Amino acid sequence: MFRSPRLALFTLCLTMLYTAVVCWLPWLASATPAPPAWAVRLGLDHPFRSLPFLAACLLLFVNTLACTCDRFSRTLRLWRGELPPFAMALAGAGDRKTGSLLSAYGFRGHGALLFKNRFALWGGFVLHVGILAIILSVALQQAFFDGGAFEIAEREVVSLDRPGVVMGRDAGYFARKTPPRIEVALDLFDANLHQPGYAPDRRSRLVVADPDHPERRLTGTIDRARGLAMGDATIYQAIPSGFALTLEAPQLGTRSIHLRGKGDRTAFADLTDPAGEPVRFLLDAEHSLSDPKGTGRLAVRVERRGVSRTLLPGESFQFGPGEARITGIARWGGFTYARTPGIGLVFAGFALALAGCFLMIFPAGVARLAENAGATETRIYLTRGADLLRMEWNDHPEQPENPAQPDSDSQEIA
Amino acid sequence: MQTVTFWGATTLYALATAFFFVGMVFGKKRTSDWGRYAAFAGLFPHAVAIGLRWAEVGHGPYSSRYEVISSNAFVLVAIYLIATQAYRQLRAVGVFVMPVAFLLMGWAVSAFGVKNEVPIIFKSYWLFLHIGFAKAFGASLIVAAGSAAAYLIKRRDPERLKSLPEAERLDLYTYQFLLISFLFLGVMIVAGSLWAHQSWGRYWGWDPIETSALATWIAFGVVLHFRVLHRWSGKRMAWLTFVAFGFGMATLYVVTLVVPTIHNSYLVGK
Repeated sequence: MFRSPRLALFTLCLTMLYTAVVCWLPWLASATPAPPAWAVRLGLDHPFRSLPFLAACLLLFVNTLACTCDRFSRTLRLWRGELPPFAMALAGAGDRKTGSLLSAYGFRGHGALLFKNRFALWGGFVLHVGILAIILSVALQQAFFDGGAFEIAEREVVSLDRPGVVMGRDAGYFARKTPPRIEVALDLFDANLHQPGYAPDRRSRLVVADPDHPERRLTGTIDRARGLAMGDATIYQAIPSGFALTLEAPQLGTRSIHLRGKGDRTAFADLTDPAGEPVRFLLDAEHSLSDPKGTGRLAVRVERRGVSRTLLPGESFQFGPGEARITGIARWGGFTYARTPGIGLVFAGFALALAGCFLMIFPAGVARLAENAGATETRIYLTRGADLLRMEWNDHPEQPENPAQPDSDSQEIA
Repeated sequence: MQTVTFWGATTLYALATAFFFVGMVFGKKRTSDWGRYAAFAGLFPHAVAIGLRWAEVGHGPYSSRYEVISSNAFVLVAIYLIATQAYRQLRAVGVFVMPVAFLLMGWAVSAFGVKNEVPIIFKSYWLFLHIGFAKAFGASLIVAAGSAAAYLIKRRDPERLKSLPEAERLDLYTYQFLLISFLFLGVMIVAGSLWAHQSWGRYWGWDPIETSALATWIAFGVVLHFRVLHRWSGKRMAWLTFVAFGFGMATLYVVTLVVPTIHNSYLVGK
């Protein structure tokens, strides 16, 4: 049942239509409205994790596996020169005609068995093995994948495995329970660096360390084109960035407050002080906060109970039962990390599938010549071009008086 | 200079189109040959126009609509000429290919003045493979579709359009170019995937264009299965080639104009 060509076509058509339709869903792109309720009910808000899609992938895998096993034995028989029953038969011509035509068609070999691009007979098989490898490795890779986002301000150090550091973690079913145990420090950050030939973008110098192995310490500069690897995790530059205030409070020690944009010239962050009272920190800029030429003069304000107060550098303010100070203004940058075990298997699957596609470009064939009452009877299997060969055979000037009667069951490809 | 060379190439492609039409309608093989010479001649000023823009903006032809569409036309003409050098009987298919190249030049010029700096994320070797094979995919698919169209004409009336080869040969060429497009599309997807992994740590993000490219690859798989397992050829295969062509063109030119995607810049290109 699973080897049925009809099932293969059905599964392929189903997957194709699903993916083709789903790629037009407007809410799948970032910064677009949320999906409507009916789409959520149908699982179309995450269409490629929905049950119908996963079931189609499973069916595709089982069907491909069954077909590939079958294909292996068929290809092996062809490789050995065993022709399938439906191979084309060209009978009645002399050796010269047969030899010249087959030679013109690229058949090579000695004796009664000739091959055309023999290696390419394996094209379809290799492609299918590649597809199987891709499906299997993607499933495995997704199960173990672990990724998430985090932010660091200049001169701040964060440990990714500490609670609250990583946001929006995306971890597979078998992924490790916690993010990687890595300490990351942002040494330098430029939100608008103009590298020659490219539009201004972020660039960071990071110091990455493994707290369990002090000798494992890396310093590297990254931008959005390339990450920095430490152990099985790689850290990548992300787009979000902003300003951060360094807060010194007796109860909390020194901590970084990451501000979010509020309009073009103001950024803010809401905190709850140790006494449980809400406090809002604001940063006002003379020019735009995202102006690559500079923000101009900056002013820090603190708002409590509807009263706003501008803070002078180093000035203390009430924060819970005690007093706190803002000791610095810095930039924060957004980063992501990813642990992708099994990615090599995925790429190996890709390589196999492409190798199969490449082999398929070469038309392959097997020809077996047999003597029959002084004339050569030739049976030919060709992956494509059989119709043309038969036509040329019939049109050949050396056509004997009793022209060949092509096998009515002849075909192009098995 | 850029303007002169661009318009020089466009004029030569227009001439090639005219020669091919005249050659086809009047059955003059010689006129079709002139069409091929004109297309070949057009490649030189076209290459200069692309090179000058490359030097001016400091990056390859993959950022704005002008750069992308103009270079797509260049690759289309180049692949047609290479293919017809290998398969001489395909030459008359220029009657379908050259008008497309000419129209692409018209579309490209609509964004002639747009010049962008590319984002830093474009700093990758995989990008060149990804974009190069996307262009080669589009071009080889157009040749396949042109061959399928020629097949349908020839099959209807074998005596008509003598410059075209026999229908069986056109059917074979269609299949051959479909397989080549299938490979190019595969390399495009894989190179894009490697690029994404290098830059973001993920090889697949279900971006609309990625998804559409996958749907196109599966559509090609369906078409090839019909050919291989159900022995479809001839007319049915020609129509299936048009279906694959529709999927391919939607991926390259339509999705990015309609749906917000990370690939928007290459056609919308502000």
